[in-house]
Amino acid sequence: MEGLLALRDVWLSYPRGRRHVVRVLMDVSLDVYAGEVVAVLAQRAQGKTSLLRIAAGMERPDRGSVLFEGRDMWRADDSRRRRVGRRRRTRSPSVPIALVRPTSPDVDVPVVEGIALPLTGAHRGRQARELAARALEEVGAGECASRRWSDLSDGERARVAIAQGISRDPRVLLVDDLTATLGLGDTEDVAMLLHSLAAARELGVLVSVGDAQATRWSERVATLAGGALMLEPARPAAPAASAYLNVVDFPGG
Amino acid sequence: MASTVQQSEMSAGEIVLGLLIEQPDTCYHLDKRIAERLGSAQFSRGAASRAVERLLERRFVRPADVEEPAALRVVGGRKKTVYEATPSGVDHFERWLRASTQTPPVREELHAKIALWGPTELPRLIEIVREAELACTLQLRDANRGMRADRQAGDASEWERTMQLIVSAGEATWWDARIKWLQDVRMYLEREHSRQQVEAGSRRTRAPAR
Repeated sequence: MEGLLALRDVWLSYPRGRRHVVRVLMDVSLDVYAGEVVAVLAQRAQGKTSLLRIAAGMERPDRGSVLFEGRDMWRADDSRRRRVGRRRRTRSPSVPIALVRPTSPDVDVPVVEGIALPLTGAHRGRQARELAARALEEVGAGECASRRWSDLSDGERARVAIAQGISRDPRVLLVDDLTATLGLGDTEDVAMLLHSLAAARELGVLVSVGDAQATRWSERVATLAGGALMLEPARPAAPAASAYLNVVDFPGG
Repeated sequence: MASTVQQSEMSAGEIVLGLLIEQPDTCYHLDKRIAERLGSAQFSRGAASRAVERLLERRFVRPADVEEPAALRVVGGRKKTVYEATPSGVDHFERWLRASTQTPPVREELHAKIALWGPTELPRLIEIVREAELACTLQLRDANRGMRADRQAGDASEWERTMQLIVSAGEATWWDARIKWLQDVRMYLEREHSRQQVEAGSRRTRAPAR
């Protein structure tokens, strides 16, 4: 059965200089079902962010397809693709997928304002603030609403970032290594929060993490290295030896 | 019974002894408790009864007073003996608990295989490493599931919850280190294999490798 979000045979490479190509993703397939958290465990520079950008429809894979509810994001009509493909998420994205990254906002306003601002396109100001406040409550950061970003602890920032992610009521939440700077206790709290949000909202959650501590509340764990994503259920057979040829940087590719 | 512990070694014996001090129990149920508390140690079923046998010889445990009807539990229709720790068992366990721990040796099959593998047949080694990576990921997943089941049981005290977090974090770190090492090994081997192929190709065709 196909997931709410599904990647099918996705390939992605970047040119590096004139003579090298970095294979970031090789034949990656992945399903994320409603109500579950899938964690992708990878070291630095192994394509975590690229994978999530592709899952979010922000980047187009070289080959393969990205499906939301069975519909190919990139085979839809052009206007849809352009809206999905825009770098900045704008109001009411046509595909309800939110990507959460550990970035600081440009302006140091009270947290509730920062979350409400992008919502004001689709909602009136007061309503937008109410939605923002509700999202903060839902992630257990209600008391952060009137504080500024610069006053928040790392753990609170992670919660606020998640609140921003769910404020648009997405069906799929992508979380890019949000726990990288957190200690064990905060990592545990954030992982538990995502687990309970997935269950309560029937949300498909895909998180990329650099550390197995952050996988503890994930239903499934995948690993990503050298372009290869490994995720249960295991593929029926290991790929033929020749497939390994394409894995690494190689000249002239 | 004499037991001098300077630097400790761990076997199922100490674990079983510790669990029996917490609560007298049957071998059958001890196996389950070991799996719950130290699942990743992968003690086999029957480990508890073998440990109890050795502990009986050393008089660290004894059958709990069989006059007590509660001392015999019915498991699968058969009555099973409940064991308890003796005072000397408690004494041994306390000393084991307080002794400095050994640094574990890195004595592990795949590590040895990689150390002894020659430059040929890299695809097979890559496959072995790949299988190991997936197996570790599944172990991590199972450890996570066990931890969540414990946490969601909800009857634990604050102390127990903290200890659960610390112990399961230790397991996660263990798998994390191993998975990352296996990923690095795989990527190096794949690069080396690729290099070998390119070399072999250029020797055959004399054309520059693509």
